[in-house]
Amino acid sequence: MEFINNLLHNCEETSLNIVKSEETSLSVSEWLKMKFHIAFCKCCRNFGKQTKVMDKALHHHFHTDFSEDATKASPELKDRIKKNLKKL
Amino acid sequence: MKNRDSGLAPEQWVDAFADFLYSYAITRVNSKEDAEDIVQDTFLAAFKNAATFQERSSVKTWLTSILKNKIIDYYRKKSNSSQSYDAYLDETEDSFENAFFNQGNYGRWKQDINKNYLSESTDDYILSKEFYRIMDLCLQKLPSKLRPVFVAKYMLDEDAEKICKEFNITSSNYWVLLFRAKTLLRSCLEKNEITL
Repeated sequence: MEFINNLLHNCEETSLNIVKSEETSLSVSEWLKMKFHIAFCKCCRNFGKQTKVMDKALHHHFHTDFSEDATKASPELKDRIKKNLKKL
Repeated sequence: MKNRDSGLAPEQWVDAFADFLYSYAITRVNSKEDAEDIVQDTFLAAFKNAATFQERSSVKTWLTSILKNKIIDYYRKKSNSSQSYDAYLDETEDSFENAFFNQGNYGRWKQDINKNYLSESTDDYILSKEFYRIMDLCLQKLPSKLRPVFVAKYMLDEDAEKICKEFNITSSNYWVLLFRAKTLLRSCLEKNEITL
């Protein structure tokens, strides 16, 4: 009974394995436990969907080219860098 | 075949690329001063290593890759390097678990995770400026110990193995770090959507 309860209710372990499975393959027993739990747990199912969306958004977030509305470097910064480069 | 920008002398790099590098850095670090320091360090490093630059890539790409590493260094320094990841994870385990999981009940989610805009979102929304503003806010709220690993994964596209080596952590610690960061980020995104 303990084993079944743990299987059904351990969202913490399952959600950790969901994150892990996005990047690497799980062991067979980890994978089976995760799949079994997800089948009965709506929360973890939603967690899985949400981390996928976050993944995509994060990836995009760090790779967007902001060239269109770019913040310009100040002329002072450029001068300072040029000065320091001369010292090299 | 020569790249368009590889004909530039190193002296011209500042004028040609400082704006681009600065705008890249300012969106990824917290302050103007930090972004300026990072851009300056990037040029200094590039100048010192100009001889090793290979014209296989463009100068811009090369400078960007130096910049990215400087940004990771910046986060690493800020992450209180005196404390090991082991100690950090141990110390914060209880408060993390208490915040999200019901320990008396095998570790069920304390609060139901319902379908929301994150489960259902269309690409349009998650790519919108509004969503970006919220995500930025939530990324900045991540504990400083969790952020560098997260930034390395998404900004540099590094895989688990490389990140573990770079930060000197075990792979099981890496999964825990990633899991905690995602759980915190998810919860922050959800909270902000509700108050919008």
